[in-house]
Amino acid sequence: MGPGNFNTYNSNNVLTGSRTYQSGDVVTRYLNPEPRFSASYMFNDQNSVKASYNRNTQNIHLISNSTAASPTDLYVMSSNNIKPGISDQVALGFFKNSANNQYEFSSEIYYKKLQNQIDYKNGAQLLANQDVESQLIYGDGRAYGVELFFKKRYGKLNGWVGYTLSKTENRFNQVNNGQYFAAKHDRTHDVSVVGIYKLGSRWTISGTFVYGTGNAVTYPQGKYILGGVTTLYYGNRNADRMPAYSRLDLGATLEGKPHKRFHSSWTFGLYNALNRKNPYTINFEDDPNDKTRTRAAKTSLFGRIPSVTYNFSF
Amino acid sequence: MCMRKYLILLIVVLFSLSISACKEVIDINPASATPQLVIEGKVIDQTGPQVVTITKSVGLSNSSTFPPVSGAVVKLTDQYGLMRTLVERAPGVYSSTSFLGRSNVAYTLNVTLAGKTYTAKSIMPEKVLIDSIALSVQRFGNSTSKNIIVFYQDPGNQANQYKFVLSVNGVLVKDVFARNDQFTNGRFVQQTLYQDDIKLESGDRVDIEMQCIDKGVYDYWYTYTQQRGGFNSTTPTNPPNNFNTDQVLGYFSAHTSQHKNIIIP
Repeated sequence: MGPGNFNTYNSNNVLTGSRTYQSGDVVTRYLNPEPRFSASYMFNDQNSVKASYNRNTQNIHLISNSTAASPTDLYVMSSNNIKPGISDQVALGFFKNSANNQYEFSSEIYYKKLQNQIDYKNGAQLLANQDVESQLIYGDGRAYGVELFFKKRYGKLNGWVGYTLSKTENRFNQVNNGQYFAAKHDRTHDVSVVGIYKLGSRWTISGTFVYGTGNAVTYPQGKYILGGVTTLYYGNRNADRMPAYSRLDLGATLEGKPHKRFHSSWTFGLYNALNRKNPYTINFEDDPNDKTRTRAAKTSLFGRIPSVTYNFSF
Repeated sequence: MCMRKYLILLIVVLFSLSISACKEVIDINPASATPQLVIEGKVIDQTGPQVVTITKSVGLSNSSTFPPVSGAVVKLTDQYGLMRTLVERAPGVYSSTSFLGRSNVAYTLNVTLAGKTYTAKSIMPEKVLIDSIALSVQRFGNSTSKNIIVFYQDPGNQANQYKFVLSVNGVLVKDVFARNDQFTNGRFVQQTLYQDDIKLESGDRVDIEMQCIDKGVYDYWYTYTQQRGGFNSTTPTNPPNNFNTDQVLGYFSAHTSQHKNIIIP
């Protein structure tokens, strides 16, 4: 919708047209049906299978920057250049409950086809650029994987364990010779373990552990000299990985003594209890001790963080 | 009461544990690419031999010594058809006989190596002169940050691109400053060259070179500066060279050059 000046770019990011629209004028219109289909079959009380197909469209796009140096993400709307993202997903799952629904197990496989994906072209110029659409490329993507999930629903100890093995890839004609490459958020392994244990009538302790393969990033694959300065040489986009992410959080809750009119509780938490230094960014720089060497330095944000919460309700 | 004391102590101890240094050196060894050819060619508006350097890239874990590439046939041709063949006077360093590069003249570089020819063209822009140099001094608490300011009059009738090169006591500053006149066309420009590579101290001798570069060379250096981090940087990639193929790194630049010196007071 106008008002405004709308530029049109071809696939080589060359400006092919520009038109000014008045307030209320429609620039483009997208109409996409989103069909959904799902079916389930119960073998008996405890076992079932489910199958589903979904088509979703998305008009707000996240363009993400996979630099190891500083992540700047940007949200853009669909426009005359940016078409709505379309995803088609098929999934097949097996579900099992046992021991009076105390245990729950599921396994699911999925395949997702993505159309109209967007990313920055190589060497995009963003600073003071009012027309970011001139810096974009368009392609498609695919994602597939297996999810396993086990849950104990009640009892003195309860919690769940989840594991996902997956692959998420994009393809752009202008990047990596048009081959599929890992999306930034591609996470080969993803593990989460949650345990909650009731310790007597007032104390509850809990622990959460998460582990995931690091983001796909572009690391330098060599270096060269240019104008007297050591310069990094980059290979294929997103060909490397950040170190794996993992974190253990611990918590303990103390319920207040039962009272007629109000209820209170103390919660003590310890975020990142193992004080693992998960990297936020990684920079490659000359080693200050030996200028002829290059070293990698990571910056991590949160170490161990304790917290105390007091809840009071009446 | 006693219990609460211990609790507070515990909280203080845990909190101080959490505020620890958060930058550390790690061991990462990305895959090493095969060595890439790097060509760096310049023609400047000063009488003298014009120089082209050819080297190869090395792996990230190697020492930063870059092997020169010998045996290339290197030719410079201007738009009037005058061709000069460069001679390899040191390994990987090819220089021409003495001549003066001129503004508004297109130069073409041809490098032939192992049966392949790499060609790049650059037009030397009109020269814009430095008006004056000043020093910007900023204080944050006890620390002082000194940066060079360059003043110049941007011509209003054309698109201009500039590159500034600093060296302090003969040591090159690693930061590259590529600027254009997108927002300053025709203005009297005050350009502060912020850098944190070499801290300027009293008595330092700073050499400032101002180059007027063409659009292709500007795109090259601008993308280059984007790789060095910063909040608006994009996915790292090699800067777009101005050669006829992307199978080579580097650039060919015909540019004007003007030097000024100051001693930091």
